[in-house]
Amino acid sequence: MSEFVFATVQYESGDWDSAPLVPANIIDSVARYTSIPVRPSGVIVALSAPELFRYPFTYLTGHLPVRFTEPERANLHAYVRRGGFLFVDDHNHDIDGAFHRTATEEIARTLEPLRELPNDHALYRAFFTFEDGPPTTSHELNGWGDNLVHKHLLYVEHAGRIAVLYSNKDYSSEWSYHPDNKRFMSVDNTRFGVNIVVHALTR
Amino acid sequence: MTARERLTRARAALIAAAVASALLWGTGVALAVYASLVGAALAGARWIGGGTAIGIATSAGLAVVAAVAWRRRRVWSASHVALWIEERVPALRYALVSALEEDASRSVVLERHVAGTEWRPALRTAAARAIGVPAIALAIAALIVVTLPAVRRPLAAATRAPAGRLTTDGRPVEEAARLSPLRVRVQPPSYTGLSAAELDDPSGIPALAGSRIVVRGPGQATGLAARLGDTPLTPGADGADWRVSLTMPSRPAALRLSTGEGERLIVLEPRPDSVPRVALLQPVRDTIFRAATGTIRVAAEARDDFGLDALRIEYIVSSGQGESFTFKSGVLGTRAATGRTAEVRARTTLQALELEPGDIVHLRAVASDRNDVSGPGIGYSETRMLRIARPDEYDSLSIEPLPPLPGDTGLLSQRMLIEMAEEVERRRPRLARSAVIEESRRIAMDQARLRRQVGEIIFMRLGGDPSGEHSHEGESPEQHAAHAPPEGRLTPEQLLAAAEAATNRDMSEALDFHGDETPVVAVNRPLLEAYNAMWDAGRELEIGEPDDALPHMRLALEAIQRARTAERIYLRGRAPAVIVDLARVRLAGRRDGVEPAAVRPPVGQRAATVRWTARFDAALDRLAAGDPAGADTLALLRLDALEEAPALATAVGEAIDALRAGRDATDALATARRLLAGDIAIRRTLPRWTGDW
Repeated sequence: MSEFVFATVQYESGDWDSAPLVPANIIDSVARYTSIPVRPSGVIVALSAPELFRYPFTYLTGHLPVRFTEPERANLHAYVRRGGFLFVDDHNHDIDGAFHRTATEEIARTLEPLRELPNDHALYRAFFTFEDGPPTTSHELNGWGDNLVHKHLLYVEHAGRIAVLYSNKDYSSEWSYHPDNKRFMSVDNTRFGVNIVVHALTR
Repeated sequence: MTARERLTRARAALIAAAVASALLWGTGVALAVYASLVGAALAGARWIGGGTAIGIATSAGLAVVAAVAWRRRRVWSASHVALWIEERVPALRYALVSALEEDASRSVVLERHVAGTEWRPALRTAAARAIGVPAIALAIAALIVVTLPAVRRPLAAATRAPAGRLTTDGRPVEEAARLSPLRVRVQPPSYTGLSAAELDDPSGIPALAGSRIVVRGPGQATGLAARLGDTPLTPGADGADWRVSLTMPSRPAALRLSTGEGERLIVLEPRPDSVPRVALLQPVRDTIFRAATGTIRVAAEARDDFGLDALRIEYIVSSGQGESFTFKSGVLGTRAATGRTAEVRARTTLQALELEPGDIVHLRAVASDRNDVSGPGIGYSETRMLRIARPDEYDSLSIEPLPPLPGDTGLLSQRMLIEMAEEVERRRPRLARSAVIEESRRIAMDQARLRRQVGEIIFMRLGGDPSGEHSHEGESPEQHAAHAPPEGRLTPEQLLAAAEAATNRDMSEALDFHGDETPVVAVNRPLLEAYNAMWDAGRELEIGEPDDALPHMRLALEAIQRARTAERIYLRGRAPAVIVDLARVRLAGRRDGVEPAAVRPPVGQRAATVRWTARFDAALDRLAAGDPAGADTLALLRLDALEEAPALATAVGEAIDALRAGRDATDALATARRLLAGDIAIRRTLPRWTGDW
């Protein structure tokens, strides 16, 4: 039984390391709420590296334009075909932002165009229950980004499973804080991250 | 008597002789086979068990009975009997056969001839021969079995593994013949109503605590010592056998029987009498009454494994508060029980309990069993509470929380306003003009709110006062007009003037610039453009022309985006290495600073387990070397493990039984070994992800 390792995807363009505290925060939540064996620290894996296949769950974010290299595209394609789960979060939360435009274009070019994920998808019941779909982030209407409350996440499906989960909700900003600070929150806002991890590992 | 009648009687006599012969031969052969098997078992044939020997002997006897009966089957035929008699009495000259075949009225001569001939001596001789020989064989076999009882006992001993006994000097088992076979009679306590049970040469005695146990063995009691734990017991005589009586203790113990030649261990496994299981059926839940009035129904049921004695429902009323409480108790319903189940129902009024506001009635059911040996066992139900509310409390009042407030629509973004305007424009052909104006003005209001927000941002940056376009309370309309920014679009200069008026700060430094415009204005120009575009959009929306408003709204959005892009700072740097303390997060605790003695070692490392493992290993070594003491070591291990590790005790017990019965004990020993090695941790975890699909 191998333990769960939170892997952050490093890509050559853009700022892949824009949310450095998200891995620790999600690891903390997975350990806090589930019995999944989990490695206490995350890893960084290059999108073009064969080590990518060691990790069934990977996380990709950034603000800046995304342009995958050919090896990155090929690796991502193979990763998805083999059952990997890539969670992409738009750190700009801006549908006119550089990241969103380029990342969605790259995903469409590498795999297929993103579609809206229904809000009654099993993802929203994988561990915690989110009746209304993706939880709203405090960053969606705080003066940055597109100022839209995005009602759906986007996804690419492969073999009946979510292969790429794409978010404009800026969970990268929402979750990028030291996990020790959860104690100041009345409701842990990283609970949806647990759902994503559990869904990725179990479906 | 006619010839036919005489023949019938002769046939009956021959049939009886044939049956007797078959039975005698069968019994004799069975006894002979049994005796042979005993000999074989004594010679070392381990496959022969007590049941096996009897089965084989019985089968052989039945086969012989069948064979003899088949061989003498002709006695059932009258013509064959007639011919058999003619053969042995030639003087009949076939008159008997002829008389049997002829019509009696026409064979008077034949009848006279037969009547004048005597054949009974021939019959006696034949019957004596048919019965005498097998009777002699039977007598010999019976003599062997009956007059040599040592044959039977060694059979029992030989057909069981000698592992249950220990000879002090390793001599063969039969030297300790007084210790095997043993017969054990277990008489459960009278209250259980169970009948006595007989155990044949057991290695362990499972019985209820308090049962009377009588152990019997062959031979005299002289020289026989018996100990129950550290308590010596006195063996007594029981005819030709010895006997030891004891009472099943409440804790596992070993009965040690020893002679000068050997010792035998029997593990006493007490079975506890369970206490009654009691359930309070009514009331089904805790309840709070506003007033101490009304009727309450109470009901309870109880079950016991052997028998109940009584079932009742008790109550305790606690009154008072703070540090001053009083209690009173009583019984609401009671029932004397006789069977294994009982139910009691009762009803009372709250008035009868004389309850005051704030009083609490605690209800529970209590049942006792008939255990008069180690009991009685008393079982209790869960407790329910009935409380009388105080007048000043609202514990029965349900307060619905206030629903969340609706979102602040003032926070609608420019992009959302554009979407709303586009939606109105799409629906415009289907809407009445008045409806378009109404919806458009609603958007205009939101657009104005947003414009004021943008204005506040600009004013904040210029002067630190967010008042912006807001009215100043307490001012006269004239004063307000003097302080208020000019209505409509603003030039940078107007903006700065308005900021100066709003903040009472000298903005001249903002105008001290090099180039086309001040730095303050340059930074805020996109927002100023947005501000002005919002004004234009608002006007169009006010008159119900969302189509004309949309270009201005989009300009405003574009300006906001430019301002955002110009001001956004992307922080880059080395990611901090945060390592989550999983033990702390999972509340698993740490051993830091804890003395080693305070840490309970895992199951597999407990001292008892280590000790048991060593004894288990020693027992296996002895068994492998053919030392029967290995089984005694297992028996003692089983005794120690009965309470702390019942699964291990069961496995060891099965191994002992298998060894004693001469069966393969590998499975049971392997099970015991696995249990000693500790639990296998099985986690319900996620499957390994191999990277393939």
